[in-house]
Amino acid sequence: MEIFSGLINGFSVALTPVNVLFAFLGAILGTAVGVLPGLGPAATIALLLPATYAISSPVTAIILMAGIFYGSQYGGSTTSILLNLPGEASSVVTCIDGYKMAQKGRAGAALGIAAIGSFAAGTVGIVGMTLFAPKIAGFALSFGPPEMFSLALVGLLMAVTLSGASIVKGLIMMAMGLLLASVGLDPISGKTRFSFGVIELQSGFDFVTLAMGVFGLGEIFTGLESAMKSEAVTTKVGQVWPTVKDWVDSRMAILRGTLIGFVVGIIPGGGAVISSLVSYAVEKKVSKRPEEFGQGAIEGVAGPESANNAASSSSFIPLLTLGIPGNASIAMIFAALMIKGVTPGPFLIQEHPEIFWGVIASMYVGNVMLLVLNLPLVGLWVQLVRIPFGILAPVIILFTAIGSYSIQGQVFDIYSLIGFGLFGYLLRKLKFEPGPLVLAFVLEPMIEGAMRRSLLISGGSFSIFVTHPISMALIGMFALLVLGQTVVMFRKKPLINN
Amino acid sequence: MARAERISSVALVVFGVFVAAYSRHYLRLGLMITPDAGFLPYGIGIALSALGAIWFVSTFLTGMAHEAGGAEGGVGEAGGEGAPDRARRLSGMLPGVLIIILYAWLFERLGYPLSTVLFMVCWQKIVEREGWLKTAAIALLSAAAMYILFVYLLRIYLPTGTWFS
Repeated sequence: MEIFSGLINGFSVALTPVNVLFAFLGAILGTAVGVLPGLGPAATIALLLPATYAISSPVTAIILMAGIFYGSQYGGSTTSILLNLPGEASSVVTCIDGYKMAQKGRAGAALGIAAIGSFAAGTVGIVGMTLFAPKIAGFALSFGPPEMFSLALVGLLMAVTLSGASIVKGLIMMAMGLLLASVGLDPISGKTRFSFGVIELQSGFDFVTLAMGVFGLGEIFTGLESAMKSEAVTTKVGQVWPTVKDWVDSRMAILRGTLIGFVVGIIPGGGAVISSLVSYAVEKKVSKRPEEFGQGAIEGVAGPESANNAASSSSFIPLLTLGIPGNASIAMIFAALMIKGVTPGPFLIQEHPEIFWGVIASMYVGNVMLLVLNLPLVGLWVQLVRIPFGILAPVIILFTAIGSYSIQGQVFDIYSLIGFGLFGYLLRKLKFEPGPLVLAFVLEPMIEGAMRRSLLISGGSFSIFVTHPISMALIGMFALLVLGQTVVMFRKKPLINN
Repeated sequence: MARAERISSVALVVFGVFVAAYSRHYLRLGLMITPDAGFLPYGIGIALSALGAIWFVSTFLTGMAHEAGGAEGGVGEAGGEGAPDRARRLSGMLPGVLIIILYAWLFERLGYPLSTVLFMVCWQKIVEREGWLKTAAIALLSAAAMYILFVYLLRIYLPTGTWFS
């Protein structure tokens, strides 16, 4: 009953004209971002972070960001199917069978089932979030400093180990993120760390500048090197409503994809990419005709597209209930909330119910908008790919430069942005995944604060992290995960996976 | 790539040692019950050095395995990108980076409107090698669009420079 009344209140927030408009803008921008290769949701949300200063209501700002995040999962499938060009990492697997279907003249059916699967999975994911999030938040209210420290650290380490990239490189990124966040004034002792006499560094690096540099500018620099070209669209879309056979073939794939996506999305580091890969592998495994996978099997589109959308919905659960962002895009939304003076975590539902329920309700609204927007406007979305990189790149650079200047009104932030952009470029060249860097950056204050408070409580003993039951359980779970990963790694992959 | 990774890993080890030393001597570690400002950065510095060392060893071992494969498989298996290839890639990126640095330097000196138009002109002429007409159109339109977005819609202060103030 409490959930029902909360949801009703959420809809009263989400359905105000301003919030409907921003949900619509988020859905449109997200779809566009999903369609455009090279500009991911994390980069786009980072680019829009300065705009949150101008949006007075925190719930409106988060509705916009959330719309971009889940909208990008819809848009990513369009170019994967029609051009064999994944707009998003989570849509890579959709290329395999989606493009084959398009080559066989069934692009419409592939796009249709991708959109309907995405809608169904996204909606189920939001229903799951509606039911489970308040319970998780209620449980997390009993967490003290040791539990918060273990939760943040284990969440971060899980994001590193499950990200699919090299674990050593992930850990390096995590350490760099923690270090960059520690620059500036130490809140407890009042000492200035790593400022080396530079006045602007005394307040530390700004998250928005870091995120826009590493994700936005870093991607532009990489794109400049490879001279990205736009492609012509020659594929005919045709009828977008799937046939009865398509429905029969894909209904179980949608269901399985939804379940996989929902579970994987909750785990830090899981998210849309891993869930789509797992879903594809499962569909191929359970199929009676596995030989058709890679040749245009509709289950190969329905499963992964459902999984990545369910994951994008459920990945909000750890953010809204525990204050732990599970991936880079969610870390940006975490930062947006902090900018608006709202701390995500177990107290969010009590202190800011309008944000908690308003965001959830807006996701129902946004999901319907995306279904309506995607299918009729598919031709328009595909034309976006033809925007020349020569225009897109300098406009994004201007956006990031002016955005970073606007935060504190100092040119130093533009220089920092360029520095972070070059750093992001270097990371891409050396095959580092920058996700753990930004996650560690946003979680550092929580990790350091909780660690120092825990040590004070325990009289300086680290044993507090293994004597408190919840903290011990979290560390134990992570130890088991690492053990499993290590076994798999030594069987299959070298330590550094390029 | 293997050479770049080896150099980067050694640089990371050195950087980690510097962070740990700086944290210990200048920020102080404090007591276990009340850790000081250098406590966490000290641990991070040590972790970075250790991870850098593991990265170096892994890259070294991977390189040796590739070289062994190259010796069996023929010339060029272990090699990374060649010098002309690297030069071509950098020639695509370096002018862009320099133009952005110039933009940052001129931003407050010339003010937003002039520096932004100049940035777009430089970008379109040097990086994209576009004609003057297209360059002028893109420069003026994008500068105006950004001005409308940030100043009128988002109400953010941008320096106008002496010419426009």
